[in-house]
Amino acid sequence: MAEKMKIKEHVESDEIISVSHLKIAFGSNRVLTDFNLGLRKGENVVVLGKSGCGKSVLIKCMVRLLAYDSGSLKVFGKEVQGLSQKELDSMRLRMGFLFQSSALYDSMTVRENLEFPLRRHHISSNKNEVNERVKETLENVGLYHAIDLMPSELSGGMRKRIGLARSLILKPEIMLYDEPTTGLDPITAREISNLMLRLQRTYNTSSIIISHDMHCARLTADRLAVINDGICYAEGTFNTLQASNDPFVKAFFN
Amino acid sequence: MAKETARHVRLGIFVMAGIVLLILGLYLIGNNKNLWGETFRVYVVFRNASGLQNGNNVRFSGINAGTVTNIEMINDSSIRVEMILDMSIKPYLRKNAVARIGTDGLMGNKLVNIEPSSVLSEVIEDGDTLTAGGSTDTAQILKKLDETAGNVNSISSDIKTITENIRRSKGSLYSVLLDTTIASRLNVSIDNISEMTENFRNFSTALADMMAETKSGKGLLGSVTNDTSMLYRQLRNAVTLMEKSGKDLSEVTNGLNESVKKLNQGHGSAGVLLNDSVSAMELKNTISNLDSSVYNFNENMKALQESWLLRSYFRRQKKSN
Amino acid sequence: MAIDSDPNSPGAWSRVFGGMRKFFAEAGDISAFAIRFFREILFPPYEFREVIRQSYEIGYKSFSLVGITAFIIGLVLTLQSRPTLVEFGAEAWLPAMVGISIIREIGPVITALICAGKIGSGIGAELGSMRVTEQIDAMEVSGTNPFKYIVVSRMVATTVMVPVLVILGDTIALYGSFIAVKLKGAVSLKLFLSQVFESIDYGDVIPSIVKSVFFGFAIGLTGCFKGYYTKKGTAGVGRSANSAVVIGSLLIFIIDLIAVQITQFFGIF
Repeated sequence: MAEKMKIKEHVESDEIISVSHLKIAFGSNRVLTDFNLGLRKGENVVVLGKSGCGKSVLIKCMVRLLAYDSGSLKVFGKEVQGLSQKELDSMRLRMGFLFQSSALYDSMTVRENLEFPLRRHHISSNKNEVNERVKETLENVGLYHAIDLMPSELSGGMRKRIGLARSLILKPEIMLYDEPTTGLDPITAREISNLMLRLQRTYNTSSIIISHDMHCARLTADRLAVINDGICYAEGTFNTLQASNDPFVKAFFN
Repeated sequence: MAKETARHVRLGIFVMAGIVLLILGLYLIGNNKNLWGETFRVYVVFRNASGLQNGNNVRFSGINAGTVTNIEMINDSSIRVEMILDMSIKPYLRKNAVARIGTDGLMGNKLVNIEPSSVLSEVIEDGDTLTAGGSTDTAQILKKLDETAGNVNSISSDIKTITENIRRSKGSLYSVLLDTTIASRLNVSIDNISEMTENFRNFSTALADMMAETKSGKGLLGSVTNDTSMLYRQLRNAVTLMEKSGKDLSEVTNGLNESVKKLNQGHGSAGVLLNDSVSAMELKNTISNLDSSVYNFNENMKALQESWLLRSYFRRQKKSN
Repeated sequence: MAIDSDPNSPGAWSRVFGGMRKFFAEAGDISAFAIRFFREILFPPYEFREVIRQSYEIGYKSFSLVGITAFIIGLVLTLQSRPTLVEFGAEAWLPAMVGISIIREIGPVITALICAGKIGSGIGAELGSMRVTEQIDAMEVSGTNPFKYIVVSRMVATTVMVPVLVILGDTIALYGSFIAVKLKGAVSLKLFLSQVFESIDYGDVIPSIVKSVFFGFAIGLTGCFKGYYTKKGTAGVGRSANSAVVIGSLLIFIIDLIAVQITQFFGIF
């Protein structure tokens, strides 16, 4: 037992996100009770779980959009809940978040959407540099032609890509995806999954992907974690979990 | 970028329009209150402020000239009103101008009326105190008096004609006599008229006396109305009219008296029946007119005697009698 | 105690108390929101660009609606007041009377109610949909304080723009009134204005502008509060927009009532 703990600590040291004994409750509704998870550099972890089991809550806690009650959540080795606003901003600068609804700013054009994080984080005030970076990122998601459109003129898949581009424009070290393929047709979903994988390599990011889309998981995951009853119910590679006999885990693969 | 600049320009115009309109509005209000232009300050002491308030208008010969800025009690019977007046009227405002509290419009906003005097004096200086005129109530009574005197005048001339008629065709008087009501009413009227004439004469002489005093600048009226040429003129007109109508009236009364006496004594053509009923009707109407107008006239007289301007004069008269 | 013996009352009473509790909780939340606004507005960073953008969206774009309504109100008010005044032989008082009612009361209140309808619901719906589509979260992750960027900028914009709209609305309403007076008889704009400005005073204009500042603040506050805390998806957006208008309009009348009391108390009247 003591040996196992030692190993775990050793492992933790090169984890850029480490979650241990995390507990979150909204009133009487306990979402996570004792959750443990680690993300190593360059690794893609897919988190599976039923709707409402706290997957989204988990990654929102990682960027401090939500607060957790107890336990520890360290990003880049620092406890998220103990950061000052300034430290929090510099942490968020190194992380990208793709929201389930893409969360494009309706009142801005695609270009302004992409410029927004650059401007807000005071990355660059040089107009040419900003333009260059927007162009490069949009080309990476294959939507440079949509630069002057409004979000309302885009299809669901395009919105996802623009959302992805907006998250990636800051060249984050960690990407958090909240159900990136939900609500898309299978073909578009596959395109997005492939795009995620490709960008993963281009930008050299580590990511946590919340999903219940097994195609997406198969394509992108180095490792999978299954949430059930507020704990990390099962963990392993796609193939190990697929081979599992546990009925709950099995249910995902059917 | 160009689009954003255009928006900024439009927003700027929008906000500036609001600010300019607000400033313009405030300026216009201030202009009406004479807060911005060059002004000077004068005072007037009233016995009664009659509900005057800060911010009420001040008129000089009927034009808006300024506002009331302060009203304070300086002792138990004096209220000092401070007014700010427009510089442009300063050359025309003399030291002997009279300020009076009046009413503006239907809803009764109070205002201060400044009337120039007919006698020229020095131009006013900043901080001077103007003379307070009597309240316009008195002026109104005088005006009423004027009207009544005019009425009496025309009525008495009516009666005169009728009496002439009666004299010329004595026969019609029979019908008058037959109609006893007319006869008794005529008697009463004549009594009334006599009484009135007496009143009238007294009053006229009183007024005339007062006028004399006024002219020499003595007496109560003199102190108040010395320079108030308008009030003075009004009074003089009223008195002249009254004197004239008084004379007429007494003539009429005498005539009537005589006729009635003659009738009573049985002189005249007693046997002649009256055919001319028109003239009788006229007489009837005239008598009732005369009655009411005499009544009104006496009422007015009483009111006039009660008015503060003349009250003390009559009191003095009573004492000396 | 007698109430407890009544079998029906506990339910009724708990409903009443529940409703009151909800009301006070809401009032407390709105107050906390307003306090947060003042705390956030004091410290940098200041979102000037966003304030200007929102001012354009909120102020400039409401102008045509406010303008048309104000014109009609001025016109109708004058036409409606005229017969009564004519009956009293006080037709000359028409500009003064209409001027006072527009500047003191009708201008600010009507403009504010229109803004509560247009701007309040707009903000409620916009922030509501930003909330449910996670745009507010996205902003926060992008290193932006969403309260400052979204809420403070909008509340500052409404607080500044509503008085501007009121001033312009008053002007247009007076012009509408002038047209109505002119329809019935010859009057020059100069005479009309001098009659209006003779009757109004600083004590009419300044409280009315101060009042409009509070109206603007109330509109921004309710719109932002309802939108910012939208819950339960798309249906919640509609609810937020709706209650932003209802609470905003109610607040306008309450502020108006308080304003009358205060101006009378200080005798600015």
